Amino acid sequence: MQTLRKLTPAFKRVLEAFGLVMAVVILNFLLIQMAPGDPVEVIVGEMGGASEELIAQLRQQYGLDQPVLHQLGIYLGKVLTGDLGYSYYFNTPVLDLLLQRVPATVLLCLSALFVAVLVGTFAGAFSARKPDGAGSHIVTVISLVGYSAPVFWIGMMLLILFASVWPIFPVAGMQSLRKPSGFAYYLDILHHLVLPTITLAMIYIAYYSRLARTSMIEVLGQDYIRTARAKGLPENKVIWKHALRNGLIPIVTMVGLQFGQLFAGAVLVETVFNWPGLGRLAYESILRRDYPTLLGILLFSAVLVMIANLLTDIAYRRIDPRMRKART
Amino acid sequence: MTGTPFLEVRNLTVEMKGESGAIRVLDDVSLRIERGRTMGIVGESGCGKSMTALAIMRLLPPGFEITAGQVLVEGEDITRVPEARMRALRGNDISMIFQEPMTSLNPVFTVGDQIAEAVKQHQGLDAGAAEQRAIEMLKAVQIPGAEARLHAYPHEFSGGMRQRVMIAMALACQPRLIIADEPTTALDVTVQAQIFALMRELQQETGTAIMLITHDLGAVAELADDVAVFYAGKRIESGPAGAILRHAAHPYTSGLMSCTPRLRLSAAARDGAAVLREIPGMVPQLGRMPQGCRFAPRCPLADDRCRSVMPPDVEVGPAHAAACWKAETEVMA
Repeated sequence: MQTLRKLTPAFKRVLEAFGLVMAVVILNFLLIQMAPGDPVEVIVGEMGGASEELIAQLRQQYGLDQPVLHQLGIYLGKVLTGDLGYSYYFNTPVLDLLLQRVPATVLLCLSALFVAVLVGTFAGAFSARKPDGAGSHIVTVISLVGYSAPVFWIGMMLLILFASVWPIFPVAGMQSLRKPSGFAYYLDILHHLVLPTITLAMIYIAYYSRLARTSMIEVLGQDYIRTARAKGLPENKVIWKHALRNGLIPIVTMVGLQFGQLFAGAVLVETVFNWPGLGRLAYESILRRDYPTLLGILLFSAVLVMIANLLTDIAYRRIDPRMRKART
Repeated sequence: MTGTPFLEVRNLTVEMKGESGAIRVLDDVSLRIERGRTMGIVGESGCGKSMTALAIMRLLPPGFEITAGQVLVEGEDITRVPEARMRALRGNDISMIFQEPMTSLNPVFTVGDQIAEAVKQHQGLDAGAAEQRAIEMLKAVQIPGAEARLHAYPHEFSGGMRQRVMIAMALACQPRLIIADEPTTALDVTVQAQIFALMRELQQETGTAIMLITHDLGAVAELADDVAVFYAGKRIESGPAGAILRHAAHPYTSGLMSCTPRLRLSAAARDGAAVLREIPGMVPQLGRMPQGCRFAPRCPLADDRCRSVMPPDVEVGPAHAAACWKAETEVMA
């Protein structure tokens, strides 16, 4: 009985997540049906033209001559068995294509998130110590710039500055052409990772520093901070232990909510930096009208966002003991 | 009670720097707290009771500043010592219990952590020894199942239990003075009595001095050895509790006492007279203090001198002083 009661909410969550993913799949499928453009025309265009019979044959081969709802039914059935279909463009299973690309995107997103939360929280907490001080104003100005500058522009500026004028970082890609082995292999990836990560993280650094600043200013005015000071704790402990742990709660909430946006940002960054991830593939698939691939990417991103939300929930409970007993 | 008291506040003035100039929230306040005794600080909300406490701790909110006077801890003027010295005093020699037990504990740390923290900070105990001390303290404040409750979070305690945790935290380093700022105001009446009983018991065991800030005259009568009465940022009367409760020299003090409802109905009340009394008028606003005595606009005895010249402290009995032009005549009469 005890375990069952414990399991039920978790099970309910999984069911909810599953239902949500299916809804996302159906919505995406219908959206793409409504979008202009015809995959067969793109394929024919790349072939340099074809006869009416060949076009009809292609339509039949890809099942595009069937009614929309029928197509949807087939697609859903296949998705449930783990088959995401074939890419019109690459002629390989979409699942294989995606699995190749996922690690690059996850690496980029998590690095950017890590940098953004770390730098943003630190900058925000720092400026909350003296909200009217010079340091606080500098943080505010920098974060406003970071928040208002477009992602692709920041990416291009970084490329011009640090890959061209002062070439300390590679221009594009995730690995050097001649792959080094052993430890140097990881260093090489890290080296390639720096500029895309900064580009993607910039807007979130700005965002989290503003959020952390507001949240820390509020927390620093709480009674328990006065209690901590009355105990004779040094200011560093008051801020980085007593205040920060409370100030982090809204930031963690935001991280969970914004993971989807982060993923959307990755599409731009991956395109600018030629990063071999899902984002660039999504961009290219749209241009190629490669709908099965695009649908697969959208499905994957929905799952990734859901995983991120689940992790946020866990982190939330770790930070705030009051949440541990509450039901989600 | 001769020689240097544990804490002496001399002519303390605190001002709030505002856009329209400085506003005085504490004006020329003097107090003596003797070792091992309880000083009750009484007055209406906003009269400067809590400000005095925060000024002693040097924990005034931003914008507030000590502009004159001294706070002597065993002769050392702590208004001028560096922050590091202040930190060594806070929680170790002087600790504080706040009014709101619901918000004064950090929600994300266990109560054990929060009690042990002060001990680690001031006495350099390692984690194990500090935890042991925390258990002792939880037992001392009579929290049942101390070992288990050590790992509980503040939200798992009731208000009264949280205030016990605050007391445990305040006592953990065996301070020589505990400042309790309305420690029971947020609690149920029955719990209030328990907390006061606990404080008295712990004081007898540890010999710590207590500065009890309250507007509950009943608590003062029960716990305090000495009393200081505050009105509008000034300390207007101080002296031994018995003397003040029996022969209040300042009209405000007597007014305050007649406002305290008695449970046993007096003969007058049975005859239909009002049971609840009040002091007519309002406390003057900060920054708009009347000339002369601040209580004069509400005082039944006030004359022209009261309204124009601020009365000095007048000795009205042994160690009993009141800032009132009429005080002397009142007692003599």
